[in-house]
Amino acid sequence: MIDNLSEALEKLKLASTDSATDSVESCLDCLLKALANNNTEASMKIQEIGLLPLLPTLLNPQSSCTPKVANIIAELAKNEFMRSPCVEAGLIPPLIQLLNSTDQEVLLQTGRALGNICYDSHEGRSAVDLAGGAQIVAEHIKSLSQNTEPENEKLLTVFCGMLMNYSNDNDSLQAQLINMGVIPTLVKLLGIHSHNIALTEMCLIAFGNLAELESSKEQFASTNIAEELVRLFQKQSEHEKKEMIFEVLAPLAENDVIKLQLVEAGLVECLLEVVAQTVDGEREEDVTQLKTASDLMVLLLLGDESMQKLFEGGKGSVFQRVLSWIPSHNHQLQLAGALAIANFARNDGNCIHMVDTGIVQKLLELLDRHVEEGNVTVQHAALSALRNLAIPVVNKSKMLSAGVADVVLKFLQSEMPPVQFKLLGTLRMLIDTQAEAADQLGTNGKLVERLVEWCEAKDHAGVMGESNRLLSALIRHSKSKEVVKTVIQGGGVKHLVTMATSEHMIMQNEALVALGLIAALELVAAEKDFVGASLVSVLHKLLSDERSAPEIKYNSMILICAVMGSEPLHKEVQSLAFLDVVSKLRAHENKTVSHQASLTEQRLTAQS
Amino acid sequence: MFSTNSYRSLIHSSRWTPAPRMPEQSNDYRVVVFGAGGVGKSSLVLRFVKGTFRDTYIPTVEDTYRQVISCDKSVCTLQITDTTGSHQFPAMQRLSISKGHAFILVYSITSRQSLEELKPIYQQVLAIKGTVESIPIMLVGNKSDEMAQREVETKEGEAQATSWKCAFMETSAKTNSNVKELFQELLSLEKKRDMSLSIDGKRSGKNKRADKLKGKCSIM
Repeated sequence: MIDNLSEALEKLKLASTDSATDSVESCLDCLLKALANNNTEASMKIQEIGLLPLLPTLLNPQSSCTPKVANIIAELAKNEFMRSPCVEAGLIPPLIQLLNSTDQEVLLQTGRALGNICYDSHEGRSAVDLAGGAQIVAEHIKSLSQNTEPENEKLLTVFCGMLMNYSNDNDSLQAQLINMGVIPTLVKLLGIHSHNIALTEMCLIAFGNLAELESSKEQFASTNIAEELVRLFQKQSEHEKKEMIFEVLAPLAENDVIKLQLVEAGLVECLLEVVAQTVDGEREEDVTQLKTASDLMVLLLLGDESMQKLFEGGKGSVFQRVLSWIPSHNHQLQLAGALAIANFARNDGNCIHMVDTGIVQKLLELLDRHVEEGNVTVQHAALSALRNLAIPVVNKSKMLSAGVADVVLKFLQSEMPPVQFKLLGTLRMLIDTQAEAADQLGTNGKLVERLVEWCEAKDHAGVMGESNRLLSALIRHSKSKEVVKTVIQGGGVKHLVTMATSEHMIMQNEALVALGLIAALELVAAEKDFVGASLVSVLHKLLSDERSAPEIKYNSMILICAVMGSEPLHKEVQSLAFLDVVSKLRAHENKTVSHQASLTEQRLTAQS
Repeated sequence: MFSTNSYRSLIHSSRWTPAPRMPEQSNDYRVVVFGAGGVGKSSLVLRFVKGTFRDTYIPTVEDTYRQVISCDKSVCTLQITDTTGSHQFPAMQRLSISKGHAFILVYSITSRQSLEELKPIYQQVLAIKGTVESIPIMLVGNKSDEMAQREVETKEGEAQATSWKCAFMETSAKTNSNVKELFQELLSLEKKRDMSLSIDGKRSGKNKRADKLKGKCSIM
């Protein structure tokens, strides 16, 4: 075989200079045979003999040998070590020229050659880019899209593959394709050629690649891809095929418009069916599919419109089905169920309905199963659901009566920031307008201790922020002396003072109001901490800063007046020349502020 | 297959040998960072955490409803452990290794000694885990910005990594060179889990997806 190949190669070298077609053709046949027999070996030989630079002349659009030459290049380029040499030998420009041919065989082989050269090759892609190859191929695909003949479908598959190899993992080339408008064309292909497995798969690969780019999603949303993919999914029975479609659905479903389209196209029913079929399965593919399907379900619920559509006033079958996942023995289903509920709980109407129909009990039961050696993701999901449910005022007392606070407290020892974060959020939602609950929780020494600890969690801004807010909220909603005492004892005062220096106005304000209550109810007990935390200087800064909001100025002045009753604090106030700052505020445009400034000024003067 | 948005990290320093309060959580992903004192382990980790930990907290007045996504892929514990000194008791070290899912072995390119110190650690990992084939291990030469004080050539680091059959990278926590890439690479070495890390808001599930679909029809 090799001997013949060497002979053929020598002949070819000579023949290319006088192009006697017959002898060239038989040499080419010999090469193709050798490549089919042992591609790598034959390729190395062909490379060694230096044939590549001679090929451009053989890529003559008029010659009948051209398809074979292109075929040979396609075969050579299957090898990684041949791709750069192909580019260096100047093969790209003539190949691109051949894309203008009308001969189907020429187009097919040229497409293959270009596609294989581009596979994982930076040089290949650059060269094709430079020669404007992508545009030509894209246009071909468009013009050939309606033709369902098998030969044509083969060509379409190759062209799509070529574009994918061209752009794979390269954001700017993918963006280039998107700008050329390949997306609507590819979606059409899926619709017309869904019977052709190879072409369909190629389209899915293309969607998977392109859908990663943000810029693609809007374009996808303006096609009927949702419908096409759901229709395709419904036809599949093999796990592998379903997985491929899932892989495309995931990035697409991140777009809210597409979410709604998918819901309207009936994806949810498909997902529910997959869940039902795989929940008790033990094979790895069952486990994978269960996760993918339920994750996708949750993803669909992240969109406001798609979620509301699926809620259907709480009577919808989807909502009911999802509810039934929560008591499941399957952790993945428990998780998906809790996440789904959490996402249904995104407006007052839904939340009120859900609490009225007994969701709280289900969630508490779920959480109770995860206290000892629990699954963090389930804990986080269930707590997230409770947090959202606790937002409407009418739900708070109902949830407190149902014992939500007690169950939530069971997770106080968690070391997981996501869990801590949602625990804090839930408690804070619950005590708003609920003085009794705030009192009960605020006098819970262990809770307060933990909150104070978390106020120092510098690695976790979320936990730190929420902890500070809860500390303040316990005081503000209870207005209770006992709560204040507990906070003082727990070392919380200094954190509230720090909170008042937050960059966020709302944090400053919540801190100041809480500090005001502390000063009003337990000034003596808090005195040392106020001094230690430099409360007075903090207040001075807040009052002097022109940018602070009226509420901040007002509450700061209230506090100044309140602390005047303490000797050491009084001294600090005097030493910091508050009178100047306060006098200026008498001219403040806000009447409440200016009025308080007068009162404060009088107070400061009287006690000087 | 799905990637979630946020990455959370919990940094434990072995110096405080904390007793865990909760039983282990099954989806904890533990990355153990070993290295001599002064090689820059903490800086490396902190650089990474600061750079990618999109932990901005913005409080709102009317507490708004929040979308909820699973926190599972985002739980990753980074444990930094000194290889020198009395801080690390042998039993604790064995425990760290046995519980670890991935390992970063850090030396400083300005100190040959620090590379030497990693050798017994690597042997221990090998001994305790039995095989390093399926375990992500990264050998890292830190302080790549200090070119004048270089004692260990890049080639040497590469050679060491090759003999250990692990990945290799030179980084600079100071200039933030290759820090992101280090962790990205480490997580991509993890085959068993669906770890994904969101950096710059981009879906890093991209690599996984490309792999799954790539082998299918690309060669024509």
